Amino acid sequence: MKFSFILFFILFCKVLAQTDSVFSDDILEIYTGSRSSEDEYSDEIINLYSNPVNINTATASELKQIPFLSENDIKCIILYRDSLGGFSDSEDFKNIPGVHSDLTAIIPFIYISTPEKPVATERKVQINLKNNLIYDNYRNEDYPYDNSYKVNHKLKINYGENIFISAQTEKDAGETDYADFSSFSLRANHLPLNGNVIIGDYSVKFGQGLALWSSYSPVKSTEAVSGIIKKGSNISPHTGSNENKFFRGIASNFDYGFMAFSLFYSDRKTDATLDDSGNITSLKTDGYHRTVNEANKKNNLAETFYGFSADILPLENLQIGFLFGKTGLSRNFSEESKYRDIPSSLPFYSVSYSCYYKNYSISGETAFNSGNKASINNLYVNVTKNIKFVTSFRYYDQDYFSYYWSPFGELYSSLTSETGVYSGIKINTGYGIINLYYDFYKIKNKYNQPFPVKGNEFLLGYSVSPFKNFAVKVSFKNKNKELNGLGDEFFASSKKYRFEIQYSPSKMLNLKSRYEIKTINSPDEKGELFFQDLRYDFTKTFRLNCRFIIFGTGSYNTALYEVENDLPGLFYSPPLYGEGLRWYINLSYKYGLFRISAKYSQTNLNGTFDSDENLKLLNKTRDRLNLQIELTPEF
Amino acid sequence: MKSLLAFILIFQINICYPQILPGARQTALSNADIANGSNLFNIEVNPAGLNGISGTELGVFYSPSPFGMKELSTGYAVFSYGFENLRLSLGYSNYGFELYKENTLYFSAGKNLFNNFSAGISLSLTNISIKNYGNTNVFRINCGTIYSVRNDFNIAFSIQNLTNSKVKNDSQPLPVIYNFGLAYSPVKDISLNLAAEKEVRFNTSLHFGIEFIPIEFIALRTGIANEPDTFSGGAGIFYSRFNFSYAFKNHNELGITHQIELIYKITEQ
Repeated sequence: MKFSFILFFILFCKVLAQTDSVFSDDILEIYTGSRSSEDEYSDEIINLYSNPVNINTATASELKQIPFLSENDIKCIILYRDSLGGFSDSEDFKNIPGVHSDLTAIIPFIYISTPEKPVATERKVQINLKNNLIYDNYRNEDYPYDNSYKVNHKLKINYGENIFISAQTEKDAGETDYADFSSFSLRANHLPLNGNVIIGDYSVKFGQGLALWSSYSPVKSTEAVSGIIKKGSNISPHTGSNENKFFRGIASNFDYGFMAFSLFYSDRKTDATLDDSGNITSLKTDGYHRTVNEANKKNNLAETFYGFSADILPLENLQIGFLFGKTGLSRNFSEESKYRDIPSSLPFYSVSYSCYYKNYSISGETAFNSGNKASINNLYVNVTKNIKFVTSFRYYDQDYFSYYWSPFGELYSSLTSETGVYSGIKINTGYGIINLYYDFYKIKNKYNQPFPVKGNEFLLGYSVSPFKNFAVKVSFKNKNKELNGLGDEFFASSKKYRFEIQYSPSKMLNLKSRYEIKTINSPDEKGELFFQDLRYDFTKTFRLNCRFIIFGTGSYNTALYEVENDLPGLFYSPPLYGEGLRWYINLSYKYGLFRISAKYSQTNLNGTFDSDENLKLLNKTRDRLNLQIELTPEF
Repeated sequence: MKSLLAFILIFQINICYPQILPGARQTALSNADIANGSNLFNIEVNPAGLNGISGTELGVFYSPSPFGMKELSTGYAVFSYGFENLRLSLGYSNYGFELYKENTLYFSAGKNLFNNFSAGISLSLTNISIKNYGNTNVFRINCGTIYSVRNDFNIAFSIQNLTNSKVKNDSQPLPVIYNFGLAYSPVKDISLNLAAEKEVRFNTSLHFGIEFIPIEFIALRTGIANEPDTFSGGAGIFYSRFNFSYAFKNHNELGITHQIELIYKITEQ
């Protein structure tokens, strides 16, 4: 019976082609992964998706904001575009010589339109003011706060291409101060030496993220070759609402001949738990100040950071980067802290490289601090126009530590050693697209994992559009991880199958149906989820998104995630476990300078559980209302 | 026996509710045909399934002893009328015996949107009557869609009890059921139907059914399903404006269900 779906499908599959999704949640899931809450790192990716650039008119600096594009890729795109007079569709990307990335990965972030005639440069002021209010009736028994509203205001001002200003305030549910978190940054472009400077809050990306990467970081996903190789380096204003991973001070980029330099300095306060003698027992990174206990941890620690990086292009196809940085904390770690061996003043160094030759490209980074090292090296091959291959080797020392790294791999916490090899391939067969990756690794945590454990992960994805306006996606993911490293070779195994159909009866109406099942063997249980999506565009300015989800899982161990269309610029991916229903309605209407968006969602849990923890969830209803007013005047 | 059955029905209403049988055609196909666009008795499972009907139809079915128990006898009648841009239907079903009875009234509205997409909604009001306990009413909304990807291939989904309604004083709501279905005709006279049904607290149930029309007036049907494991079969005879169907369904642990259905096409258009 289980194979009848497959048999049924094979029977009518005749004509096949590439698939493109119209659902923004698909894009978010591919590029950010399913995470268990509103994710701050995805702010950058959401902004890019919400404001795609015209690839036929975009400047090099605009293209640089798109993930997965290297300096070389940008040069090749611009050269090809200028020689041909522009792209007519994304199929043209296959013909660009010299590119060493899978350009289909950038499609969600661009659009293709006939180049407009150049107009005289005029300094136009563009303002974007976004106000979000989120009400959630969920009460966590550990945080029985009264105020359930989250309020967030974001202002962005572009003064032509020269000045960019962003400011925001945020209050999480349970916090009393409406500016519990506030942020400001000003970026000035087109300075001498093709330079720019940022004053205020900013993010830094360098190399492959082993030393500095305080921004969006790619993850393993159904796009097997995109995003594995990071394309630093860059500094950018901190526009996300992450209250922890950013710098506050001044940073600057400038070019000199074949070299590009960045300088940065930061001095800010951050949260920490202190012991009686004022030493740090733990770093608090969630940004919540809802209770007296949490508020007492606010701004307990001063952190200074400074450094510089240099990117050198000695040859057209070779780029070498150097980085030096030093982080200083105003307090030492307590003897009880797991970071007790980390000095309060921590210098680090890093070298990165990127080189390409014909269809091959290699890249990597090695970072050092306190005699410890982390290294990742990648090989990317354009085997043919339709086959891309990537492999990556990583090695991270157990005692290597950086406050601002975003390494690729399994690492869930610092002070964990990891050795791993990832290989991925993407094949456009003409009968659909196959994505496949295999990653195997060995990890060991200094404090809670005395023996190294082995693990591996395999994903096979297939997407096809057999008919116009109809696409099918299937994927299978298998994860195995040794339980204790004692040699008994017992692996905790997790398998996830997904079957999805997207169809569009008209340009206005798009539907998506998904079935997902996850099984684990320790303990033996499974989780299932069905959802039905509907997107209807009443007009170009009035959109309805709704989803109905029905799920059942044995426990939190088999929780399933679905990335939701949220208010513009936000996304939500709650863990669904237990047995119940969830649904939401999301409306967005743009009128002149205003856009008003609202989302109402409800989760009903009505299953039965054995454990005390899960009994709390019985017959619970969780309502959540999100409102957003966006104002975008221009002068 | 009757008292035991009444006891089970009273205290497990929220579980038994979805056991109400659809029409004989659906039963013969093991309820796999939710992507079928022209079936009167889809009024409960997928109201969009009425939109493919042309003209005006009246249909009745009767199942004298579902699962071998005459106490569960079910009767059902549906009338459907198509306006220029809208199809309206009325239905009535009766289920149970003197100790426990359910009477349900249905009203459904459906519309073909765009060239190949139809949507429908049905409102139902069920009166549950339990001897010596009194009676109560439950209001539910079901909705569904069918999209014809090609002439020979349909895709559908529906949600039953969208309102998550409860029987009065029952702590558990009636089941909300999500159905997803595909229908494919590899050749003119054969239709393959596949459906998945997911209800909170139960595993996903898969249904597969085949309809074969060997000669112009006769249809042969069979189907299988899991969760619970069942197989079914039946036949249909089309004569003039009449459409007569018979179905049986075997449940591995319970008895066999027999069902008959008669549909009369009052007007062609």
